[in-house]
Amino acid sequence: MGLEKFYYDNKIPKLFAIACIFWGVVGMLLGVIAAFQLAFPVFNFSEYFPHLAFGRLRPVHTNAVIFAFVGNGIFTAVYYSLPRLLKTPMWNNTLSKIHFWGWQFIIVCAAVTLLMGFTTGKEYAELEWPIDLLITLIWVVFGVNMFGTILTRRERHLYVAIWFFIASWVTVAMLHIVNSMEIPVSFMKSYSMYAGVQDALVQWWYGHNAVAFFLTTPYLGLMYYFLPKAAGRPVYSYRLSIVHFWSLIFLYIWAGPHHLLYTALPDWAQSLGTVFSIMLILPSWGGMLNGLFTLRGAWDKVREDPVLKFFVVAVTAYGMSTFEGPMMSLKNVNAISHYSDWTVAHVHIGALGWNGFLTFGMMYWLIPRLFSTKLHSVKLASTHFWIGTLGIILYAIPMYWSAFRSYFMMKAFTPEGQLQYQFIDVVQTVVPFYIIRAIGGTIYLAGVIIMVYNLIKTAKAGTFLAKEEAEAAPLVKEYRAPANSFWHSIIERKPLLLLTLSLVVVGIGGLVELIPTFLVKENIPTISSVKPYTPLELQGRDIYIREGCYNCHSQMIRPFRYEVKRYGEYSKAGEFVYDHPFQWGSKRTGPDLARIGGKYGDSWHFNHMLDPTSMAPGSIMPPYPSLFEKDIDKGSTNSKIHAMRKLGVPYPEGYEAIANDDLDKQARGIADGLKENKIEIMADKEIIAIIAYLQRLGKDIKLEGQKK
Amino acid sequence: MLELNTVLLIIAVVLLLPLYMTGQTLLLAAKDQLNNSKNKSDLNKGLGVLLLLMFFSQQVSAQATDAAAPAAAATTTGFDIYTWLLILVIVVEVFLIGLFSRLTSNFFRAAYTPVNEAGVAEKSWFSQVWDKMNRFKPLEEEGSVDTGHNYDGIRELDNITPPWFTAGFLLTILFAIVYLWRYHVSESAPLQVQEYEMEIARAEIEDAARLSSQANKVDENSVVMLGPSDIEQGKKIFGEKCAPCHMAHGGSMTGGVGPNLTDDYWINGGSLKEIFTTIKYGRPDKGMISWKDQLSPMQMAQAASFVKSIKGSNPPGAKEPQGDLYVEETTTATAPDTVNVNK
Repeated sequence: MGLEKFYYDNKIPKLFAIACIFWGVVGMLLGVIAAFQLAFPVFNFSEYFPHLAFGRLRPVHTNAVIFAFVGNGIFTAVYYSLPRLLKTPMWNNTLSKIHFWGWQFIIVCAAVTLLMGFTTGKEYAELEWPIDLLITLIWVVFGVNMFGTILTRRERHLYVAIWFFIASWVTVAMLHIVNSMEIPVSFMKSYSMYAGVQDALVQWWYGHNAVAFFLTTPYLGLMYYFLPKAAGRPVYSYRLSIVHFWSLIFLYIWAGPHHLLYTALPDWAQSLGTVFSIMLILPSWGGMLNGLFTLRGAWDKVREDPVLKFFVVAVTAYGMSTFEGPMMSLKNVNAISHYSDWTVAHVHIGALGWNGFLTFGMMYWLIPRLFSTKLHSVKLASTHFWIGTLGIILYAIPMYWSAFRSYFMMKAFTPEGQLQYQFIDVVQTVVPFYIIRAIGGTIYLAGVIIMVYNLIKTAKAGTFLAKEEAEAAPLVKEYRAPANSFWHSIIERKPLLLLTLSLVVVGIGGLVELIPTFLVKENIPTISSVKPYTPLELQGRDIYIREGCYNCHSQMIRPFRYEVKRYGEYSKAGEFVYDHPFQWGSKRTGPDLARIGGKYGDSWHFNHMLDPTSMAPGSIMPPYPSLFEKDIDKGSTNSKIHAMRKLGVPYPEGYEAIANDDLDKQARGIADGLKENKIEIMADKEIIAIIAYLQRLGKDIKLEGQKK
Repeated sequence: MLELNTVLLIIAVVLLLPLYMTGQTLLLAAKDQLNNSKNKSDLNKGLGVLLLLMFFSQQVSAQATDAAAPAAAATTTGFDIYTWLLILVIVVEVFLIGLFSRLTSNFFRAAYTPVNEAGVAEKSWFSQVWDKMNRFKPLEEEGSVDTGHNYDGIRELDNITPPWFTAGFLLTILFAIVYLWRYHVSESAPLQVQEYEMEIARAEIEDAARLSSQANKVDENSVVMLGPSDIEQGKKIFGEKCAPCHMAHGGSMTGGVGPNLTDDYWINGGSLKEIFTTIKYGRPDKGMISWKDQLSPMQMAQAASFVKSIKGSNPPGAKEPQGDLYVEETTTATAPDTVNVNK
């Protein structure tokens, strides 16, 4: 049978590579700025631009790094390796272009809208519904193009890298669709379909698996292609690939609830999160072992070749954080790490070490090949390697330290049985660590800049190879597997079977955890005194979400003596039934706000929002002067109440029409109260709404106590 | 009965001895090497690292003792943070002992490297164990496990999964079963609310013991005006906790959050008892927070006494009067100084 001649396209991989590096620099720069904001609040500039305050900037940083930097990294790897592994060009070049430009358009939209304050308030899924739809569309384009390529392949069996690409694609699609279920209120504003505990469970099922199926499995695919290529060594173990692929995708999906240990999530779901995290250790390590053992016989090369150096540290960082993660899922460790800088350190070992270094290694290998030349400077690449490693160390160690110090301070009691430290004492203790962390991040970014220079020099020295010629025989229709072939090779021959099996395998964990939480009433015991928010409080809540307060403040008091003493009675599942979306938060840079209602007077909040340090000397919270100038968006009250009722919040029929009257009345009451304290403010300013919301938090359950 | 932490502590301390010995041996070996060596600069570098490690090992022993003190003091049984710390210390110690022994043997090997007949340096003890643990095939025999797969030039071997990998995986599954069994079937481990109730019960016993101590018995019925050094303490507390709303001088300011505490007008009553009550329970409706979980009864009495002491001080820029005129009923008797007693 004759060989067919065809061409691999290098234009799209090149574009994705450029986008990856560009957004990488942008995302990391935003991270550095955010780090400096925590150390020195003046960098928030919120007096002049409310758009740049930490609460809005941090989601841009996380989204940029995850979906722009790593996202484009994934697509670079897929568009380069998939055709070569399948001996066919990408199926449709127009779809490739739509995918590339569509994804970049989404990123720009994301950055602009997040800075403008359009957010759903759910971490790593902050983008509003029109962008969610756009993501779905582009994701489908990617999937069609990928499967078109797979179905027109000239290689009978699918290589392990492609298993990971397929499983990642289908799981991300599932996660994105389920977690983005929201009911639009207006263009760029929506409410999550789920409330409270259920919303939290869906969100962290998504959030954890965004880490798993966006940051981990596609990058394992990337590793399985580029690492053996760069090392010139065969992959260590085919059967290890099979074992760790299936066990990883099956177990990963269950582990989401470990983000909600000691919260109001039912105990059984928490326990599932813990045990599945522990069972994940070895399947995760399977990838590391297969990567490191592939380098057997090539360790002399590792000493010389910066590409392999980056790969080795990346794979090691992966091994470390996939061991650390399960340890943090143990209840007694999580009691320390949750809400603390430990989690931040943990994700950055993954992001800077695993994703960052793997991407850099790939770029140093790929760019010279795309431009048919040699890397401009191996020495500079080595410098980048050492600077990057130093950056990671300087980033992580202060964060671990800060986590432990703040834990011991938070739980310290005086001999009299009082809390020894106020929250502000803890903040002031950790600020020096934030400074070192910011420096660590800056150093890491400096390394990336060196890489950019090196790669530009490389590209300039070579000539771009837009097309690469290749030839291979087409697949014959009648194929008989050799008698001794392993059963798994059947799946490797049938991509749609692989796709279906992956979906089934990842579907199980989600269904087992989500369905009972939604259907079994005992999981969320109702509390009769918990009532829906008033229109003014609802408007205030939307401002709270818009400003990204959840990035620093939790609303979930865990059942520990030192938390109950500090913040009040621990949170109950029934308190959150009208919270679309939930706002439990994941990090306490500021104190918990679940029971802030009634703790301070209105005038305290008024002054605190204007200048936090006036009420809490040493605070690192940015001021929010814009709230004192902007009017409450009363025009939206009607549609907000309407949307909430559709979601099952019991506002009486027809309440939309009179909701603004109630809003005005409550607002005037607050303004009058402030007037008694000689504070003049118009009742229609946003500050009034946010005060109303904060003063409501956690109060319903106190009423319950009084009734008894 | 020995507690887990005590056992771990003993292990950590006992390990210090071999740690010290291996460190010393290493140092001696290194010095010896230094004397014989022609290439001194390299070795000096090595020695620098070594000294750093030695210093580190001392830090570790210091840490061990640090962790030990509270661990010994902790009255609660079971797994707590000190357990983790001790485990960490032990792991670091074992790691360092291993490292020191390995470095020492490296120094010796540098002197007399055993070379087999083929002229190839023998494998180290560590890599031999490592090879065995993973059941590595020698590279030369790789062909026997080649799958024949070739994807864009990437070949695949079919080495067995490392035995410890399989064992470890099974072990984690066993852990999962036992965990779920204990928490949800046999219910022999406390779920979070039970855990919380146990913690509170323990704290209540401690509270009861504490309340029996004299100075802290003070409450809103028994509070009396305290003496100058207590008032000085009260001033410090006031400056830290109360100043954000009332200013450090207590007079607040126009537009300030809290009322002026230096005038004759009081919203919640101006007697010592009323002030103490206001501090203790707060007046949430008026924006005053409760301090009973953050200040001890004695500290609240000191703060209340300080507030009484600044009456009429008339600080500049103070807030206008709020509330009702309060006239002192009788002169309050001053109690003897308790600060010294309190310590």
